[in-house]
Amino acid sequence: MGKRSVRTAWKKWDGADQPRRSWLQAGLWLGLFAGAAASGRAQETPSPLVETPSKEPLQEPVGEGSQGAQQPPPADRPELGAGEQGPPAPAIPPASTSPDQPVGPESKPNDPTPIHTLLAAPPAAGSPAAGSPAGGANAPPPVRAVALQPAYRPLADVAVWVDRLASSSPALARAFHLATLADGRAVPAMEFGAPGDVPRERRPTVFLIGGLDGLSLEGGEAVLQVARDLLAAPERLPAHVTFVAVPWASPEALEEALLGRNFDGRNARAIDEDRDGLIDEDPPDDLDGDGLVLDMLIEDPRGDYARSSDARFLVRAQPGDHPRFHLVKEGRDDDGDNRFNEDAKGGVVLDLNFPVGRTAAIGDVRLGSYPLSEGVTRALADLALARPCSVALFFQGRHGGIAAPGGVELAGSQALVSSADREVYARVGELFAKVTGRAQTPFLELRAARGETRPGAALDWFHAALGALSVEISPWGPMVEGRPGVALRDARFERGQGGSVSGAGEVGLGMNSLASARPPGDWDRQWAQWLDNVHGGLGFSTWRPVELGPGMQGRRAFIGGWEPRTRFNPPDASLEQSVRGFDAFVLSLATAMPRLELRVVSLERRGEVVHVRAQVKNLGYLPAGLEGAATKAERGSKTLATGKQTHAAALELELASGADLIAGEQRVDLGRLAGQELSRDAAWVLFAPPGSVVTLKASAAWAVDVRQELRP
Amino acid sequence: MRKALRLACLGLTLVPLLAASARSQDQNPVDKEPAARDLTAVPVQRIALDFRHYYTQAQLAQALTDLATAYPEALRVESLGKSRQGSDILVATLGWTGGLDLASRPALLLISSPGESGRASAELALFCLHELLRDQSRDPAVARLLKERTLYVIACLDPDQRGLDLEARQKGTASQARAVDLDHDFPALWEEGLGLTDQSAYPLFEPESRALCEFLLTRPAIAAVACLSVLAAPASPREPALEGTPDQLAQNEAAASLRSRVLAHCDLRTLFEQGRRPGSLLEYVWRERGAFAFELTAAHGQDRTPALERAAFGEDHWPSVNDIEVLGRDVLRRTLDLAESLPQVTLTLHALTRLKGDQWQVDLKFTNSGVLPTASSVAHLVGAVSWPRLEIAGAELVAAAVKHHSATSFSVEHAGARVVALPELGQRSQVDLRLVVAGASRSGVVLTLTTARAGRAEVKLILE
Repeated sequence: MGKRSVRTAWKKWDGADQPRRSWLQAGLWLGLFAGAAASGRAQETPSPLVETPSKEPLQEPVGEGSQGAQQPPPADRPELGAGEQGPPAPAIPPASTSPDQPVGPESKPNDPTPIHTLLAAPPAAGSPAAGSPAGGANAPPPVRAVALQPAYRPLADVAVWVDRLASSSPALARAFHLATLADGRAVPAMEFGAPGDVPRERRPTVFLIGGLDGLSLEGGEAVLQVARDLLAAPERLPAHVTFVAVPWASPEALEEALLGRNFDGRNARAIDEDRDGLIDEDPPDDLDGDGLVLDMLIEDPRGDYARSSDARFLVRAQPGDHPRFHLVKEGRDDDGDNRFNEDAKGGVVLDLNFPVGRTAAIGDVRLGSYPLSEGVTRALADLALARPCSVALFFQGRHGGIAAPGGVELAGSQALVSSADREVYARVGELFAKVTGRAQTPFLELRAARGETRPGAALDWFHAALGALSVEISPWGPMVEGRPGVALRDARFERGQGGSVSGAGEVGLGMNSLASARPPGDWDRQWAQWLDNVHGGLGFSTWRPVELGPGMQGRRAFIGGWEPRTRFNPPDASLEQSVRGFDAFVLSLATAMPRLELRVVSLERRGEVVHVRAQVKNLGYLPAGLEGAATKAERGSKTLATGKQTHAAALELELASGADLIAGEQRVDLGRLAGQELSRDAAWVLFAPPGSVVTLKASAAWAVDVRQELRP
Repeated sequence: MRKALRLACLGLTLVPLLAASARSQDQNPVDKEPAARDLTAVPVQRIALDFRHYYTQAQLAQALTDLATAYPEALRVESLGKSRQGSDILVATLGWTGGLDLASRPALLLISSPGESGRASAELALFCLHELLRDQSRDPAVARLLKERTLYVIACLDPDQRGLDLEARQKGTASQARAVDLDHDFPALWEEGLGLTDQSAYPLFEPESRALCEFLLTRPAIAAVACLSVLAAPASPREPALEGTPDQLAQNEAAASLRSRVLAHCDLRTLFEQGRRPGSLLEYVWRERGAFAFELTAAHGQDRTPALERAAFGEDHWPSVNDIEVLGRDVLRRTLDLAESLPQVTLTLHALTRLKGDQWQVDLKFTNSGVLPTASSVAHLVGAVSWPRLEIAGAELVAAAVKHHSATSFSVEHAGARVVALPELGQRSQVDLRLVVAGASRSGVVLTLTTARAGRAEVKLILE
């Protein structure tokens, strides 16, 4: 960015029409992310070592990413110098000290901040994003709004919409193909971002990935909607961030899910699951010809399941339970091996095809023969490695909230998310709850959110190997259409009255009394409440007897269970509510991405000797990176930092010929830089003849590098 | 005796499929298989390779191609993929054609270790191949290997870095280490290595390791992998391996048994006699393929690196060209030992009894003659292999039962109409099989035993 555009940007920021919403957003982030700094280092506290604090950089920053140093403060706030305090932020309580407590609109009655201001935190269309407007000479061109209504659509339509979104904003976006499927079709993707001096491929990048689990059609739709909403108001886009959207990250599996034929999210790779030399020879079948493939219970004294007090649901069997069942998909024993549906069509779950946390599940065919064995996952990983991947948002799952990395429990005392990073994730969880209005436990690991382990989860790899802030956002869940705290009375779960939905189910399953049965699990209870109180009780096919076919006479079996577009994907009528509203959260995260400002505190010459002292400030509200994450430099060479190493922002001195370093390290690790935090001083003593040029470079994992030339 | 016992006309003799079929003169180039090792006999010398120099990648490829051309009945060379710089990664497949498909025989993979010490071992691997081909007519162990097993040899997994190493060696400088250590690039325990500066951002990041992984997946019969490396000094003492799973103990016992033949220049150890190595090839071979994992180290004992350079660059792994043949002979001996230790099943008809009408009781012995188990339990846990299967043709299977050598009675096995799944066998062990089959009198029955990593065996009998 040249001087001219800098002045333009200043002028724009000095305008009196700066909306207060940006401030509210800034305050929200200040409140959410101040904790780390407050715990150890004071915000903007002058160092006693600072000799001549300066409010202005001595030299105008130049080069790549200089907009980080050139960002002016919002118009109604003077630029902060060392030692000055910013205006009081809206009083947002810090992250809950008990991360297990859910938060949400109704969960903090004493919160002095009016809830509507929090929900309005992301700037509305037409107002610049806080601290990082895409204005001035690089103001985005007007775009044509794309009328994209939420719907279930096939891959071809997704590709068309991706192209249409990109072509509607050619200055901001471009479509590309992430990978090519075995049948030659492309996996559509797009990147977009505000115009800026730094090329989009070199900016911190927010990945929006939909339906990688191969089941969450609504996740793909959510990504499309987020892209549409962000592109519809390009002036909100922060200029220092790029977005990459892959709406249908597991196309083969999602296509099957669209047809109601995919039950576990596996792609089209043909695998001999039972290793009998035959491929896909025993898939599920529609036994009763009702057009649906549901669940099937086969009575067996060694079965894993028993009935719960609700006739519809099962619980893990315990000694003494009778009858007991095996739970499989509806189908016959096609290959006569006494097993049901053990070799169905499909192979690998792309979401589980990543390297971290797969040790305990090696041999599970869903994980693939080896990490990133599939073309799409490999392409996704390579793309993430080729970009400064800072945030990865996976839109998938059925928990209705947000989940942090932690698909499996690692061996020993290893923790995938360090305590410092846990704090960051918890605050992101809080933000999610406040912005979307969904109830959310601030920090919820993936396996807890999903209610099952997720070995080899993409989420864990993006966090552990790339150091990206990685969360799973689940558009659909039992609480999406219900408000937490609203009393939903469900007589079915009261002791002695269970199972009234389907008397046939009770009789069919052979349970005469439910008085002693155990209640269903939490998830089943929540889904049952949604089904009964929101969805009119429709959508669960009650258990009914079925014949298993020749050779299976005498074995009792029942088919029933959740119908398509209920628990596993939202009903058509609920789709819009499940996928809307994420743009505000995504924008909040992107706007809060760190931006570095390089401050030369002192520059003194004494003959041939030069003393330099400098600091770095993180102007964003997110920290400059995760603890233990890879530094950008290391990531560039495809290597990783140790998980125990504190992630650091760094100041580096680049010497021109003729200059020499007398004292100080050429690269100074400044430690973990929290949002809005000013680093400690870095000092050097140089031998530099008059006329020498030295360059300071500030860098951090999630920020664009900032350089400044000094001519001491 | 309940019924008349009559042994079948084809029976009583075990007919391991391999042995029967590989004797064809057309397929077996050796006119007469050697009865005893006789190194004074004339070798099958069709090509002479010179081992008084290091081989560049081009020379190595040419030498392998020349060997394959000279011994087409016993050696095939193919590329399993390309290196990052585009060089072919060559794999040599050794074994006489005929009989059981080479890919289905019990197999050993001898591979130059992915790390620096392995890159100096390509000449040793090439020497082994050369000598095996020469000795096929005068060493029964070699003949058995070629006839009943398959030996895969990957002399150089990392041709790019080996080229740099050689170049630096010629210039007398230190070779620049590659950004990603291939021996940290495999999936097993990979996440434990997060933070290693020479580890990639995801496992199998490098084309070389990925190609090898794909190769292993398409060769499920590889029962053991031996990584070959060269050390200046003898390897450090082994870690005691007194405890472990039955798999680990069996592997350690096999190694101990092989070590009873002392070789001056070649040491053998198992994966479990070393510390954990995140992302290493051997960890992957064991943990994700369930194959037995060994390390073969040739120690030349002549580190000529000046102390200062050694401190800076490590030891000099490259053997002197004068030592290649000496070291190579020990590596060859150890490789043959390992190949001999691979599992090998046989099926023996013990008795045939007519029960009533068309129902017959067939008693068999299912034996593993190998020092290693027919497959590790890990191999089943990770789904790398299927269980041994006995298939019956010519009669219908009514029931099947198995009696382990320590058991006092038969336990019933689940069986279909034609197939019965059998247990894996430990080292040098056997189980008794009892089948009840239904078939017309005087009809011929063929029993075929198929294992994933221990070969196949067949018994033919007539119900009478």
